[in-house]
Formats: sequence, structure tokens, C-alpha cells
Amino acid sequence: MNQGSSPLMSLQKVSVRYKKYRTLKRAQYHQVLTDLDLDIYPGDSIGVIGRNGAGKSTLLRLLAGVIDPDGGVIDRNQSTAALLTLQLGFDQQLDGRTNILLSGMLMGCRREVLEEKMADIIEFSGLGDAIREPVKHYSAGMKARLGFSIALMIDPDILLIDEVLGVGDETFREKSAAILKAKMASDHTVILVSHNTHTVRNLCNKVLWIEDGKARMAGETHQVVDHYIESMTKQELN
Amino acid sequence: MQRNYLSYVWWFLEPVFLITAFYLVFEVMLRRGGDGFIYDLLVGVIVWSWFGSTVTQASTSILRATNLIQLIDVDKRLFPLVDVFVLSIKQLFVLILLSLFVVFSHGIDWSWMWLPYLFLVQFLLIASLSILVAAAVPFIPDLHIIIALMIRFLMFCSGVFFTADSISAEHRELFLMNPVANLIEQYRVVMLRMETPDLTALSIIAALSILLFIGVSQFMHQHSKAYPRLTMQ
Repeated sequence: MNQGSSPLMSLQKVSVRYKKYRTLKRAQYHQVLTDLDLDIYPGDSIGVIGRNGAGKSTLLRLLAGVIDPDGGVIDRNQSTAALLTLQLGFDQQLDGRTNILLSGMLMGCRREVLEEKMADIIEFSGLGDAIREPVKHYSAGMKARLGFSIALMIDPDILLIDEVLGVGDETFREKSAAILKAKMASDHTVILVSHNTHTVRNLCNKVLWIEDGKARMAGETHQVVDHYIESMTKQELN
Repeated sequence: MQRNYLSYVWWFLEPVFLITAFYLVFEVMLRRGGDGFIYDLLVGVIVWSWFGSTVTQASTSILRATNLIQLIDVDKRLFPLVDVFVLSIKQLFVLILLSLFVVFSHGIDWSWMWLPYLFLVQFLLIASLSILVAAAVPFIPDLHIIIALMIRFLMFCSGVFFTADSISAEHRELFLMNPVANLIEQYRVVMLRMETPDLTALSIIAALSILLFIGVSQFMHQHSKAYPRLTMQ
């Protein structure tokens, strides 16, 4: 898809290592990602799979610009990437409306844009008059719905998602999954980190399989997922 | 989840209780420290508490934001500055209450015109030291314990419980090199002795604070992406 155009973001031989501890003589490191290459083209829906601790979350942190790599280059081409986060920076004492502004602004939205979208956000959350109450009076489900409604309003060039397809009650879960699916199917660019191969098969046009911080396989979804499942089954049998 | 019922009313009640307690103990019960000592004491305690509470709070401001900075690329200077502004607004109310209490007994004078300037200089000092400790603590986690100890130590050598002229002349200059001690003294000069404060000292404190603030601010900007790694668990 769109291979002719230039990538929104491209990672070349990117490495990340975390400092575990420091002895008197030298620091000990934990290598999380090694020489990872990734090109993200407009309209891509890339699934990232791999076992726990393979480096998937670190990859999202890199893309979101939370950390810089220790080696290699990230070419951002002026595009923005943001993690889909729920209830980011919520203040329990303040009402829903104020939290929409607070959380939205932390995610990088301008205040005017948020005021404009306010009615839509409130309607999507389905909170009604409760929006004027302090968030501390909300149930967990209500908070999750408000958080998700805000998160959906942010519109970065690349949306990063870390397995959050199930929030709130059944109706809201369906509604939000539908919206996400629509986003991913349209020309939005999305990176989805997931354990669920079923979700990845349904939603992604490309898949990156990471193992021990290295790209084990990358390419067309079904091919990569098939190999991944095969490898997992083999390991379980051993 | 409700932390307290009166919320912002406490901003007024807290200093009122403080002033009442000091008044009862030192003026009514002990009758210590000579005439008007209670006012020197109150100015000292209130000016100190703005400094002490803000710097202590700011030292953990980035640690408290750990979860947030793992998720978004946000300017880390935001966190100490929020603490500084919130506590400074609160302190402004306390200072107004103190002023009313002092005016009630001492009256008011033109020297009080310097009060906003004192407040500004103290704000600059607090902001610069707050951002400094906030920037440093994530690198050396044990530092916030050391800072808490140092602040307690500083309280005893900043003239909260005594005035500068009770110190022998040879040590007074050294004593006033401590910017917090100097500021407390200037507040007493302006509010109680109704005189012009030491403008040179105030300007030096202001200038050094601004320089320190700019330096640390620059450092935090350059190392912004180091903080998520430092605070990651």
C-alpha cells in the first residue's frame, strides 16, 4: 500500500539498552532492541507481535518520542506519533469537562480545538449530565469511557496503540472497537502492539514480529502470523 | 477518594491556626523573647514555610509524574513549575493574612511598598532551587532524602527563630550570605521595622536565581528524554 510515497517515519538500525545497575567499574546494560529497521508508510496498519519482554513497548516509546535510541537513526520527517492513552493526567477532583481539556492538552491538542470538539467528545462518551461531576464520583467504566472518548479525538500522523481494544461495558466496547477498526481501515496510519493474533489478522496489513529485541520476521500479515503461531506451538511442545 | 471537606478553605484556616497557636504560646503563656518577638517569629515561620514546603515538594515532582512521562513526550519542566505556582499562590494568601495581623498591631508604612518586590525575589529563588532539585533527584534517587535533611538543617540557620541582630557582628555577614536568612531578615525590615530593605542583597539574590533557573531549564530541555529512562521501573 502506498509504497511509492515516502515513509512517514523510518527507523534504521535502531538500538535501545537500559541501564540495569552500575558497579564501581562499569554500568550493566540490558539490551532491549537491536538493529531494528522499520519504515512506516502513510495508511499502514502495522501489527507488532512477540512475547512478553521482546521489546514491543520500548518500540512504541521510541516512536512516540518518549525516549531516544542509543544507536541508529529515527527519521521522523516532521510527522507526529502519539500513544493512545486512557485517562492521561486525569485529576480526580475536577469535573469531566475540565479533564477533557487537561488530558487533551497533555496529548498535544490545542485548547480551541478541544472546545470545538467538546460536544462530540461528551456525546461519544455517553456520560450526559455526569460530565459536570468530579471524576472521583465516576465508576471505573465511566472513567474508561471518558478516557477513550478523549483519546479518539487526538489525530496524530501515526497512532500508536498498546492493546486497549477492550474498555468499558459491552456496548461501549463494541462502539470503540468499531471506531478503531474504521480508523485502521481508512487511510489512518496505526501501529498496534498486541498478543492477540486474531486482532492483528483482522486489523493489520503488515506485521513485525520481534523476538529478543530483534526483528525475527516482517511483511505480509498472514504469512508472518502463521510463522509466529507455528513457532509458539513448537515452543510449547518442547 | 475525597481528601478533605473544606479543601480551599484550609488555605486560610491553616495559617490562622498557626498564628493563633504561636500567639497563645509565646505572647500569652510564655511571655518570652522580649516585646514583639512573636511578630519576628511569625514572619520567620511563614516566609520559611513557603520556601521549605515548595522545595521539598518539587524535589519529587518528576518522580510523581513517572507514569505520565512514560507515555508522552512532555516538557519535564512543567512538573516542578506546577508545584511552584500552586504553592506560591497559596502562600500569597498566607502572607496577606500575616500582613493583616501585623497591620492590626504595628500599623502600616510606605516601606510596605517593597513587599511585592520581596515576594517576587523570593519567588525567583524558590523557582530556581525547585527546578534544580527536581532536575537532579531522578539522577540520584537518594538525593531527595538528603534534600529533606538539608532543608531541615537550613531552617535552623536561616533565622526563623531568631533575628539577625541577635548574632554577633563578626558572624552576621556570613549568616546573611544565606539567601533564605537574608530574605527573612528583609521581610522583617520592611514589615516590622518599617525601613527600606537591602536592595543590593535582593538584586543579587534575584540575579543569581534567574541565572540558575536559566541554566537548569536549559539542562532539563536538553536531557528531557533521559528522564523517562531514569524513572522507569
